[in-house]
Amino acid sequence: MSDNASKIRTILKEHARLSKDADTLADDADLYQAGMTSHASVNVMLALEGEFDIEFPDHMLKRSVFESVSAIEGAVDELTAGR
Amino acid sequence: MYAGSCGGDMRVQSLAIDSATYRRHALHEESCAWVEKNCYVDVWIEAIHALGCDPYAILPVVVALDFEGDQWTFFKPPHNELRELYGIEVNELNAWRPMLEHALEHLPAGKMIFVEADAWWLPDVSGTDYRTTHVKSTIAINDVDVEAKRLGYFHNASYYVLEGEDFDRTFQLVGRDPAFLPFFAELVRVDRVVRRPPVELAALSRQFLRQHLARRPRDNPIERFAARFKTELPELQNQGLAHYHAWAFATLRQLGSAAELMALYLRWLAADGRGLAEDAGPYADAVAAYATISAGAKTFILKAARAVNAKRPFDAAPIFEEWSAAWQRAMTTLESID
Repeated sequence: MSDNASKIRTILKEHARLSKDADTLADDADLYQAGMTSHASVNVMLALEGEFDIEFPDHMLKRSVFESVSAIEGAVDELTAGR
Repeated sequence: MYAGSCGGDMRVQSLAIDSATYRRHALHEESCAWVEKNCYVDVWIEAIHALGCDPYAILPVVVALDFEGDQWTFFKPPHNELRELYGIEVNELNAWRPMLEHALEHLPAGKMIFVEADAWWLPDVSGTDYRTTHVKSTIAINDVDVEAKRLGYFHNASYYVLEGEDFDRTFQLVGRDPAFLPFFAELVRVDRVVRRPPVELAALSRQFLRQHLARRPRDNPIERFAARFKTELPELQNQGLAHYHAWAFATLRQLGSAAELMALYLRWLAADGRGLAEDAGPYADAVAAYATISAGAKTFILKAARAVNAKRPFDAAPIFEEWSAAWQRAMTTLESID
């Protein structure tokens, strides 16, 4: 597991209020299906921005960007590329 | 359709539904931007769907949405429309005895009970309030098994079952507080349901749309919301994220979900109640306008959360200008259609 994926799972554990253990979820598992509400996704977004020192641009502020570990990781990688 | 009493006197049902195989209505599918609308209309959407009717027809009320100062209208389907569209009769339940006794009385008679419940004991909201927050939310009691301590109920976007302690607490069977006042409850008669053909249902619903359109806000409520947000942002920042979530639920969520519902409803009307039209014809401009507001509200919730969390400035004026124009476009389009 990449360092970013590990950090993302830690954030999901703390903020997503999933009905399953974030460590056992498949990378492409649907987080909304796993119990993440839109309310929780707001807290996840804020925690991700804090952890990775990023700001999701408007076009990324949508449901699909936060729907799985791999989707989040893709967005984080894109925003931290070249650092 | 009506299951009545089965498995002995201790289990009663209004509709025979298995939560394991129940399929929620399309308005509650995960593909929706706003899966949940508000707890009351959500329960109606599913109850109407479970009765074998099409719930799109109850949506005209949404067109009269207004900004009410500290919230957007918590839209509810009027009782007369439920009766005329589907033959569903709604009256307040005189909750003079324990709710469980009311359920045992009315469910076998082909009625459901819509009642406010404490979400603390509703396991379907494990991601939010279950066992964490005391907040009221409407459920529809449909299936009660006293011996097994099991309740089948509609809540939010689907149909669920709760058991054990959740059953005891929901029906106030243990830990009863003498000062507890009964929640508001409605008795819903579903034994004379009318299942109209799609075209007839859409035509009837269109009449209600005209009526609700006539009582829409006289001004542009987005502009009032914009002004209020500008003055309220410092207070939101002062109060923090938990307060922000409650504020957003009452404002942005209602506005966004209403806009999405209107876009879907107008596509349903354009298809004369037979599915959703890709090209909404005369309604197309309004559909696009409502879609702009729906998608925008989704993004806004996240942007404003960031501004509240970081206590930093947030110039929302350009967003509100876009929504305001969209609102006007939707109204102009709908006014021009007979």
